[in-house]
Amino acid sequence: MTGFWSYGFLQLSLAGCAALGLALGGLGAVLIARRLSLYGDALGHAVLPGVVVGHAMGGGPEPGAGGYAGMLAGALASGGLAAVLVSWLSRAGRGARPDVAMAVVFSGLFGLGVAILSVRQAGSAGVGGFLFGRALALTPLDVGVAWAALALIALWLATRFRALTLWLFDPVQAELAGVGLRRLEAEFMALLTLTVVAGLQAVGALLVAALLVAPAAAAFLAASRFPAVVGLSMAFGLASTAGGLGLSHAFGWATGAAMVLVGGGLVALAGAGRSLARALSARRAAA
Amino acid sequence: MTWWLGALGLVLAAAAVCALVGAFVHLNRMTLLADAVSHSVLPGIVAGYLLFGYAPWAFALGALGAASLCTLAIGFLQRRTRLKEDACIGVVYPFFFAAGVVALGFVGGLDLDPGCVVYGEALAAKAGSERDVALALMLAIAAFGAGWRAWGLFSFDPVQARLSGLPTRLMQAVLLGLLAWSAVAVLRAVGLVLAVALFVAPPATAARLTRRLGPFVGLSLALGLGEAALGFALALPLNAAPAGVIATIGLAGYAAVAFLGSRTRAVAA
Repeated sequence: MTGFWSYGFLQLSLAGCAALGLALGGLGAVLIARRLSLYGDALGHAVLPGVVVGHAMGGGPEPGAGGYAGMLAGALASGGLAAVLVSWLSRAGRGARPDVAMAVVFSGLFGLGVAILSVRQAGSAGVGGFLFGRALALTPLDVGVAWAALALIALWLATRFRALTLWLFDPVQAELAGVGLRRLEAEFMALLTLTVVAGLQAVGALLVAALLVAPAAAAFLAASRFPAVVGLSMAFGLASTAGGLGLSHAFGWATGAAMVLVGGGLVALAGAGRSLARALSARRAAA
Repeated sequence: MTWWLGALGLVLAAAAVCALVGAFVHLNRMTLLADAVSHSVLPGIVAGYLLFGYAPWAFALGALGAASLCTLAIGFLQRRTRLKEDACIGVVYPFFFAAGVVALGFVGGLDLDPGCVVYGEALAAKAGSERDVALALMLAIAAFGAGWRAWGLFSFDPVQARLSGLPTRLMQAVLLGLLAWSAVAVLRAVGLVLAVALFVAPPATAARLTRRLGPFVGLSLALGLGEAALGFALALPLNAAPAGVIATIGLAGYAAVAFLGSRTRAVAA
């Protein structure tokens, strides 16, 4: 792999994508346990208008520190707006259906993001960066933000793990034990939004959610205890982003898409491995 | 003859197709399936092209096959593993989309790029787009017009429809086929974002306003056309992508009707 390493931009990409894979994997395990997978997908679409506006207010084609602050604030705002709209439209008035409300809100907000992007860039030239990411052109700041997100998530998981497990698997007990559920949920949403914004730079709005869900789904198939699931999910996230980068470098595949394909492959492998293990143990039991 | 007239016609025709097909998709509670089709249309087009060559029907067949595979994969994961439905969907949809993006990268001879698939290129649509969209519109009108009463019964009471001897399986297949054909046809004209928005938003808005089949379909059609025309008129002076603006207006219309609906009910109560 010496050829792989001889390019400076690839080292930078690998450093950023490794942190992203670990971060997305860690949060993804919580996301799946909370049954929020579809919300993750929706978030990738719904934050687009906020991210684009925040990015514009931060100035410059490559996001500086101000650009990141703007993108994060915008993402929180439009992600919050989406959540409020969906929950209101799922209930308000006759003919309200949650699946329909969700589809209308997310396609509408995503459309708003595309419209703003197209105005800003006078045509559609740079739209692809936000939609499909630019994993091979990460800046040192992108990498720094990804590692910062990972550090925050690791800190959060390490200090709040007990509360988190209670919240996920025994909400009643958590309430009784005096765990601040609203605060925990808010912390989770803030970390999720930060990670999605960081991930947007690398894999784009359309596919970032897949890197939240696929490694974690594979981990849930491969392990049973939650701490093991979280650890495996982070490892699978790392394998997806690093493997996707390698495939992209070796065969010229679209980078973000290659990462998602690796993640999907891991789900298939974990599922097949599980069936195989079950068949073997059944045979051993019969013998 | 101004240069944008052709583009406006194309967007309006696409809106009409989507609103019409979307109305029956909505009634049959297939909104998630429409999502599956829109995610798998990209790998489907590539597969159709590789199997049968460059033809609209090949793309539609590929899209339909990929969408079926997509829903089968979700069902399989759901039954055979302990993953919940939402996680299965979250794994499978993007996988198909990503496969399409990768496949598109090294299949020569298909003049699609993933970016344009997402936001469309109504203002620079290739020759042939008009024909595909027009054909989809005629097919939809023919199918729904010919069996209007049957479609109504099928949509509102599928059990009764089967008991009274209607070919419900065939009708389901026809509806799926129309969905795939129109998704492929409008894809290049207006892109995936707008295709989903046009399939979903006008019928969802219309469903909040009426419960009767005729007015529902008519209203859905009118809303789709009106939103498309308004969005196009706003997009031109703003120099924005029409697809994005129209999708935004679809959401605004839906939210406005929901808001007014909850207000009038509160007053009446």
